[in-house]
This record gives sequence, structure tokens and C-alpha cells, in this order.
Amino acid sequence: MTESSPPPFHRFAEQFSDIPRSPLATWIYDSDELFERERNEIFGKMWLCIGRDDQVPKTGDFFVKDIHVHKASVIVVRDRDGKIKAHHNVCKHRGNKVEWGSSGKCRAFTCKFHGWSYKLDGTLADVPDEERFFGFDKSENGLRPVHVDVWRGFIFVCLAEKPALPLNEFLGEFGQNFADYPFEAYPTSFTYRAEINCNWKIVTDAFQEAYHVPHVHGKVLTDYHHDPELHLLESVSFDKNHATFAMPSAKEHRATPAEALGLQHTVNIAAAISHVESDEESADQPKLWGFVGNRVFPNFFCDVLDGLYFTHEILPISKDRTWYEHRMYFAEPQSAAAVYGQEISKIMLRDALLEDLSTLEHTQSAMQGRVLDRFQLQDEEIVLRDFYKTIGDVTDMDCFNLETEGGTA
Amino acid sequence: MTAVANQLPKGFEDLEKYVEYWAKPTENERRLQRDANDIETIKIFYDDIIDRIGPALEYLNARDMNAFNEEETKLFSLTLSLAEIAPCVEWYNQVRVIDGVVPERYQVDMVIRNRLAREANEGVFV
Repeated sequence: MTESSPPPFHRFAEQFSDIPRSPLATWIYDSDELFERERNEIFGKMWLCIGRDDQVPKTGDFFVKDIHVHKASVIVVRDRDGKIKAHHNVCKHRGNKVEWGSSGKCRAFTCKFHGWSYKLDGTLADVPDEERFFGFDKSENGLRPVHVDVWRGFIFVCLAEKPALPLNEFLGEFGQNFADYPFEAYPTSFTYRAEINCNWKIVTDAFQEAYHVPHVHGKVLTDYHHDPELHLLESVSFDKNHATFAMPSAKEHRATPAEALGLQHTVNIAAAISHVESDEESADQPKLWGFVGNRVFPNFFCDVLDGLYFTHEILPISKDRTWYEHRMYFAEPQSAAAVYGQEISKIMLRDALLEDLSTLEHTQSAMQGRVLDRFQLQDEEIVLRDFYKTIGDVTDMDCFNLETEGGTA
Repeated sequence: MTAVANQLPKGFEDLEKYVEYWAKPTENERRLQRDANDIETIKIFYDDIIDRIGPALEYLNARDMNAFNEEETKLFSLTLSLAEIAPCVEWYNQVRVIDGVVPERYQVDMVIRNRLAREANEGVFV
């Protein structure tokens, strides 16, 4: 931050005057009606990020992803042409699963029930006793496809009969602005998974503001204590339901002894989050990827930094249960010390997320107990307020309406 | 802790006593070791190794990390255990994250080292 006076208290409210400033209603975390509309209008119609292409690097590599709210089990596989395909994991004969594992490598998908076998591209290859069926045409009985597309390695699926927009248009400015980020330079990834007992929106709330950072993560990200303005957003922009928010740089990063041992060999996440300005960086040069958070509506966060990035994938299971996957991506380490440095980053972020996750279930519990009817949100929580305006627009239920659960937007 | 001799490269004999407990190859195993300990024991381990990890990394950096022998692999795992327990000492002054979700609910379950050489590298130093 510069030495100048703090930014105006209501700067984002002025910049984005159509985003509500009134309190957020809390019935939204416990409403069957809203959840049903989210299920249909959001998770049934929009592109959802469900993984990355390095999970299926070679022909026959696959993983299976459950999209619980639509009782969908989706197989994502790299076919013989090297393309990524997605199929419903449902045999065309009598509906059994054709793949029971969560990931692996195979030449074909064969149903255990009656032995129907499908090629990687989903076409039906073999049916035992085929001649005993009536007027049967194999070409009409491939696995039911799921719309799938890939942006910069990220795999998105859409459960709609026909997506409202192609993926590139759906991603809008996010897709354009981050097309040059060197995702491929960070091929080492670590995936953490957890089922969290709260509404999916409470999970998304955690990753849409930095107001909590000096408090929830005060022991880990100590730079936020030393600079009381470090948690204030540098810039915010919105496009097509998505949001991009940039964090400012720190003047210095105070590494702990264990951190310091790794810092000289590889980028460290605390330093990257604080994005300490280096000597080479002149004031008039634009900062690249200090810490930029991206909310790709509805279920994906892609937070890019200098030298690493991390993502959050969030999928509801039910109104008060959520499937959460977090991935950290690093450069390929060239030395033991670089692995050590990455391990420091990994453990630091993992522990920080353990701090985040515990707040979520407490919030859900309190909201189900209807202890509060509203949340007061401040100017720095602009991305969150935009999220609830967006939810309201998409579901036609006003999340800022305190009086009427299910009040229309 | 029992010390079995000659499990580490020469020059690191003082760390032998930690090999049995702390030289674990995966993050999840190291986390379990952290979790099964009390903060006093972890502090002793931290104090004993914090000044030794620099020399250990220097020693390991001079070697091909994809061809470590058994002794080097154990020394490497010890350095990664420092990364695992450092937060207990440097941040929390307790073993677990303060008021955090219990760590067994949230752990690494997929590691991709390098998309081009995935099969060759998977499972090593996760």
C-alpha cells in the first residue's frame, strides 16, 4: 500500500451503484425453495468446472464426478483422438453404472450388469446376445453424452440439453483476461477434498472477501497484521456473473525460520499472497498477478498469483451439505529444496483452509437455528454482495428481502 | 525414540533418532505423526532440526532428486516433516490449527507431479 490516506469507505458502493447495500437475508442458507431453484437454474443449466485436463493426460485416462443435486455421475475421459469427452455413467441397457471407480485408465467401459461395452468416445461397441434384442441399433445406444468443453486446461460440463452459451462466451471477460496466465507452467498439483456440512453458498462466501484474513488467518498470514490496509481490495470488476478482485502488495514479507529456508529456492505462498514488490518492479509498471481472485460463477474460484495458483470447486450435495475440492498448482520442482519450499506453501495454505472451513459449519448451524435474520455486509464485501444479487437475478428470489422467504426479486 | 544407526547420509548422524518417527514419505503420513504428538515433543524436534535443514537441503540439492538412495530419501522426508510441524511452533503454539476443522476431514487425495511423466513420478514425495 502507498503511504497515502486510506481508500474512501464506500468506494465500491459508488463504483457499483446497482449492487445492494442493504443487509443480506439469512433464510437463503436454509430455504428449500431457493435451493430447488438453484438446482434447476444454476446447476442444471450453467457450465460447471469439474477438474483439469492433467487429470486425464493420456488416452483412456478417466475420472468420475458426481453432481449430486442432479443425481448425475459423469465420466470424463480422454478418447482415442486425444479429445476430452464426458458421458453419463449410466448403461443404456438398464441403467446400471458402467464405471464404479473414481478414476483410472481403461480401453472401454463395460457394464457389470449384462456386459454391454462402450468405447471411450461413448459409442456402444459390444452387446452380448445382441441378436436376441428387437429392432436393435447399436449406433443409437451409446452412452448419453454430457456437454463438455475445456478452457486453458480447465474442464467444464453443462447438464442442460443445450447450453445457453458456448463456454468461451459464458466465461466472458474472465476468459479473455486470464487467457495469458501461464497455467501450464504449474503442472504439479495437490488436490484436497472435503464434505462440508453447510449450504454451498456459505462455502463460496469464504473466498469472496479479504476482510476475514487478518482475523481468521492472523497467525498464518502475519503480513496482514503489520499492514492494517493490506486486506483492502485493490480493484474489483464484474462481467457475466463472474468477478475478479485484486489484492494489494505488501511492503515486506516477514518469513518464519522454516519458511525462509524454502524461500530462496521457490516461490512461497505467503510471500506470493502478499506479493512483496521486488526491487526490479518500478512504480509505474503494472503489477502482474499479485494476488487476483476470480469467481467463475457459479462453482469455481481461480486465484492466480506470481509463481503459483490455486482453485476451489464447490458443488452442493443437498441444502446443507457441500462437496469441496481445493487444488494447489506449483511449478515442477527442480531440486529437493524447491520441493521443501512447495511443502511449506502447501501446509500453510492447508492449515489456513482448515481455519476457513470450521467457520462455515458454525454459520450454517446458527442460520438453521434462525438465530439471525440478516447479515450486515460492508463495502469490502462487494464481491459477496454481487454474488447474492446474481443469485437473485438467476433464481428470481431476492436474497436481500428480509421479510419474505421466497420473495421475488 | 529409538535410533537405528546409518539411516541417513554421513554428517547427519545427529538426526538419526528422528528417522523412525518422522521420515515418512507422504504428507498424510507426516500429518498423522504431527497429530499424534504433543506440542512439547514437537518443539524439541523443531529446535533440533531447524538449523540442520539448511545444510540438509544443500546436501540434497547437490544430488539428483529423482535418484535418491535410501539414506537421502529419508533425509529428504525429514526436511518435509519440518514443513509439516513448523506451523505448530511458529504460528499456533499447539499441534492443531486453532479452532480449525479436524484435519482428518481434509487431506490430500490426489497428487499430479507432472502431466507428461505422471505415471513415473506419482506416489513419490507427496
